[in-house]
Amino acid sequence: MIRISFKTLSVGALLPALAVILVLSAPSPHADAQILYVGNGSSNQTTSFTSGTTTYTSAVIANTSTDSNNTLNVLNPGTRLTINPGNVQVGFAGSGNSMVISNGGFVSGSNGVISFGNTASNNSALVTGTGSTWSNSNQVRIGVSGSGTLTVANGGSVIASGATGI
Amino acid sequence: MGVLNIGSYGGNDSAGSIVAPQIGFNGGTGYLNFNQTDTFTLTNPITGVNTIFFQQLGSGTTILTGANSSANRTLISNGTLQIGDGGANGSIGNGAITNNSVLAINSSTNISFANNQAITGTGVLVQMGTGTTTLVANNTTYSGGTLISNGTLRVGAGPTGPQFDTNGSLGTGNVTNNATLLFSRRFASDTVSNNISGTGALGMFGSGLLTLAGSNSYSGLTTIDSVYTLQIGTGSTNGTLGTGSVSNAGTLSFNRSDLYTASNAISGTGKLSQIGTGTTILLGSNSYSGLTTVTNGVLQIGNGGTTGSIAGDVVNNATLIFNRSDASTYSGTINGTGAVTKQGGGTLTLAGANSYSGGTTISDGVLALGSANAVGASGTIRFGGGTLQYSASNTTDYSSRFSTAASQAYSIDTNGQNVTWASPLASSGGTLTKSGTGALTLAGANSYSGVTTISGGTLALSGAGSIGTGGLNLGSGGVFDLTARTSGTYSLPSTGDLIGSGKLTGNRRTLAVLGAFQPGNSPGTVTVDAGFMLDLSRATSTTFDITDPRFTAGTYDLVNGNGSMIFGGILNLTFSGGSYDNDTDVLQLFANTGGFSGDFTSVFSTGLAEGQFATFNATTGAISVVPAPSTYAVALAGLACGGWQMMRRRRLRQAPTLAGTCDQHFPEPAVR
Repeated sequence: MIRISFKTLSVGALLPALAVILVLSAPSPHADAQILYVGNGSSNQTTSFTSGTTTYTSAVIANTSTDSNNTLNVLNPGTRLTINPGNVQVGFAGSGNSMVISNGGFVSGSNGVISFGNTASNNSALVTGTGSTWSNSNQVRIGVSGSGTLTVANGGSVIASGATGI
Repeated sequence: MGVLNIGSYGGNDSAGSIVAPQIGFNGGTGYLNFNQTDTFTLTNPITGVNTIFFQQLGSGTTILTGANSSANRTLISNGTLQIGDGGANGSIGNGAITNNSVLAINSSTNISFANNQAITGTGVLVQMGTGTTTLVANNTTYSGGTLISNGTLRVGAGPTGPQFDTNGSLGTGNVTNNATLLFSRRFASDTVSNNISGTGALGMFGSGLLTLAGSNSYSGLTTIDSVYTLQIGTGSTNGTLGTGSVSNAGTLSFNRSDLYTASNAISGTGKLSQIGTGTTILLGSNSYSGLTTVTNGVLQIGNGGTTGSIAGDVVNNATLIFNRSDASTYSGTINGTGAVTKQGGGTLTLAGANSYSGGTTISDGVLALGSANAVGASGTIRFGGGTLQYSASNTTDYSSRFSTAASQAYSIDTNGQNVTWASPLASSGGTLTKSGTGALTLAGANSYSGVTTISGGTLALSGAGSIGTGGLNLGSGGVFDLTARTSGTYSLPSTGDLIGSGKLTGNRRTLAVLGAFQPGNSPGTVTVDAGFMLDLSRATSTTFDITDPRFTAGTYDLVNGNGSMIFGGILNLTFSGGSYDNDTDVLQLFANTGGFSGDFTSVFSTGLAEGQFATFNATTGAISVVPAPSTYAVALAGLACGGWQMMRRRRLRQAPTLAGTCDQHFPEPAVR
């Protein structure tokens, strides 16, 4: 088993060029894990969680306005990405970024936000496949400033438990 | 702009799920796309005030069960967008809807599509819940048709809407209505051109004019509210009512230019009006009690069968036709300037206090006068094959109103009453038939040129009265009474004959026949009453039928009674039924006891055996069958009597006073 433990996992900042980080498994919980960045001053980055449980305080895809085409994948049954107590930001500032939860993958957090900033656009989240879940204890916001898309398909589920829902 | 996709956009995915207390659209433009290929139920309330697009893009079905208060616009380009799951849930917000596929409403409560929620597009609207769906938007134009399988689809906001409200429509497609379709307006007028079929009901609630212009076959009840008018047709050849019963508290109006048959049973307190130029036939058993108005065209009750009726009063300013084959009574009142026509073989009794002035045509059957004003106060009465029947409540002399147009078939049933006609009847080719017990007295000098027939009762002449010029048929048992006629002798013109079986009566009265006299109906009897004289002296011919050699009573034509006869002209004797024996005074054809005078100028016989001929005895009124002389005797007789007699070989005087003369024994070759 390969264990990767970061205080801050920032894909792209470490590898400004094309980078793919495959997180095969992770201990649960990681008390020292803080913020998961997928694209933080970089583009075309992909981070995939395929098994186990990984915990961060926040997850940010495309942290800057130039970050594009970055992807966070969470897939397979038993793969859990836990964001606590922060939010899952899909396309915080950049464009064309995405989060894909598939094949039973599970992501939880406080709020889910797609395209938050003024510079964010065309960011998306896809929750597809039976058991695939994006669970938010508060709300999901789509296209807060720029355009964003949330797709729920093939038995995937999006949960927004707060009063405002989605 | 935010987009929430259920199922992948443009893909062939099934749906996922949304677990959230609501879905809110609170900034910018939002899209809620239903792309799934399966059935997806969205239970979440949908809120927001921004531009929101609901889009049913996938081939599946989306069921909205949450409360949707957003100002969304809706596009249905594929599959089905369904509001509600059959319970008291679901809504579609308040934006316009472009429906190019299927929009279904399945709620047990009321769903309303408001003014800004016009449904357009090529799709179908389905009402499948037990509740009521109301279409209020004025420009609802969806063209894919409407299916109402449950509950009520209501068009219009109803009596609570604005005055002269014209909003709400059905779109343009056909309607399959298996539940209830309700039009609910307020002082509005609109035309529904959809073809409405199915087993459902059609209702109107509120006020206004609803015109059905489609070809409708729905079979449920049609209900018309008290201040609503349901009009069938637009004045052309379109628009039908469906096939079910009609509960009419308002007005049911027919406005077509062609023949239209309404078989519906119409009940209620409402009115009915015929305003089109065509003919509307009512075949239902109608009990509606409101006024029937005929302002144009023809309103026809029945079509020659045993169905079709009206109950209330009629204002008839065009044409009202009754046409049934059985007996029926109309007790309402017919007013107006229009005409009434009686068709059909049955008896129609008009029992109301009618004042219509457009005339009456009796084309078939019997029109019975069931009230003093049954045929109105004025207007021409025309006869085209039917009979006017009097009653104890009406013995009015209508002769001044009878048509003088050609070929009038005046037909009267006195029905036990005594009726006098003062005005002469003048109709070229016209006929008069008098039937029923009772007497019809003609006081006018009638000039109709057809035959007069007494089928029953008495036909009398008074003063200078006369029958027409076409002769008199005593029918079978008719009485011709000259008692009240001023002149002692009344002559039947040479243009007509005296035929039939009946009685001639009138003390000190004479009937002169200038045409032919043919008693009996092969065979039959003419009775000449005491004091009456039948004058045949100027008759062209008299014909008797003898049908049985045994001369059994009733097998030969006969004149009897206590009156008298004047013989004249030619006597034709027609024998049949077998061989007749030679005998003298074998049969008395004139058995009247009042006396004879004159004689027939010739006797012709047919039907006797070769070598037989008949003679007549003007003293006894009897005929004889005698053998013809031998050929030798014929030759001698011919030589003895001279050639002038040969010129009369077909005319043989039979007076016994000439017995032994050449005339008596001339070997008359039977004229057969």
